[in-house]
Amino acid sequence: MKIKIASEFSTAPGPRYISEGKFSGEQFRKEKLLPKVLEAIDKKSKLTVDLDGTSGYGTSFLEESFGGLIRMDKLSLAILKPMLEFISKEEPDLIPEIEEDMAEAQQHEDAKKGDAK
Amino acid sequence: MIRFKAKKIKFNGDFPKNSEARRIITESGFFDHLLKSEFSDRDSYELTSKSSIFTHAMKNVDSELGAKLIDAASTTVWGHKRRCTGVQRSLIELMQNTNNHAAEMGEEEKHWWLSVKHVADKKLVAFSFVDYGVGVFYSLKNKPRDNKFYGVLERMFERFRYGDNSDVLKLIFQGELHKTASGQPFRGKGLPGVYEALQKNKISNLAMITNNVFFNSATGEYRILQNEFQGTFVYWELNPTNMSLPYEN
Repeated sequence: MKIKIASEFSTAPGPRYISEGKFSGEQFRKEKLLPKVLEAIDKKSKLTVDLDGTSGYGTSFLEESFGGLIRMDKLSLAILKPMLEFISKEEPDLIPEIEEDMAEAQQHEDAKKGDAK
Repeated sequence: MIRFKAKKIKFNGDFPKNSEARRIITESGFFDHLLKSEFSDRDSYELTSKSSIFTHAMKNVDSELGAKLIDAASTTVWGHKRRCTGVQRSLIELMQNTNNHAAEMGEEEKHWWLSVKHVADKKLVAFSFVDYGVGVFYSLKNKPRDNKFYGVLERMFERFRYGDNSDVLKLIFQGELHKTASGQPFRGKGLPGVYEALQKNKISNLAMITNNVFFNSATGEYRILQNEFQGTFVYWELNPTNMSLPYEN
């Protein structure tokens, strides 16, 4: 399975939240990414996210999209990491940035669970 | 000034003493709009002029506007449209900061203002972004107790035993604000994102004024100012040596 942000969502990805402007990370996650992720989990297949072809990404769009899967949609890094693949030939540094966002989101969730105990 | 104009409150001011600054402000079309009798308080403004300076103002994050301005800027710089992801990231981060921090302070939403100046004979485009919010340091100092950044300035001073705000700005650029803040892990990457665009040669000549700090990447200078600016001003340039991508991928 594959999703290309530039052709399936926007060539100009925007802010973090829907309330902050058009083409937000929140919108992308809710409308495009999460349904595909859930389908991929269901089918036990990989999901490739193609980041190329846009005008550029803000840090918040990426964090809300991918870190948000863990913080907001309560999917675990252990499930997401093996199934998500990224293509970013134009800006290879985006991939470790997203991986860091997801790892920090998981740490945040783990810490919250620790606090609750 | 927008609020004064919209409420028909008279105000006055002086022209800049510096002749180049005076010429730029005149050419920008600023006075054409300032002196208009009809002026309403709106969410967005577009100040066009016959010169090479184009100004936009808005409260939200407008990534499509950023892409459109980059189309025009890259045409001035390279002679055809190219994608400049560092410029786009810088614009989104700054728009987002203005939008977020005014709201966090519980204040009325503030406009950001962006002027883009095309210098065709030098194949150079200069971006000037300004908001009249409260500025980075005042904003950090006045976070409510439940905010991720509550007490973060004190913790940074303590952690790094640094002297003043100019030292802290260096740390913010390096991402230490994000690392030092506790609680929600997903904020504080905006200004490091802009600085990273500079380091990766996606933009040039980054300069910034916020509260009492001045930074100029061309000289590497971080300086404390005598007069405080209550807001944030960020300047950078795009030139043919900067990294860019083909328009169609």
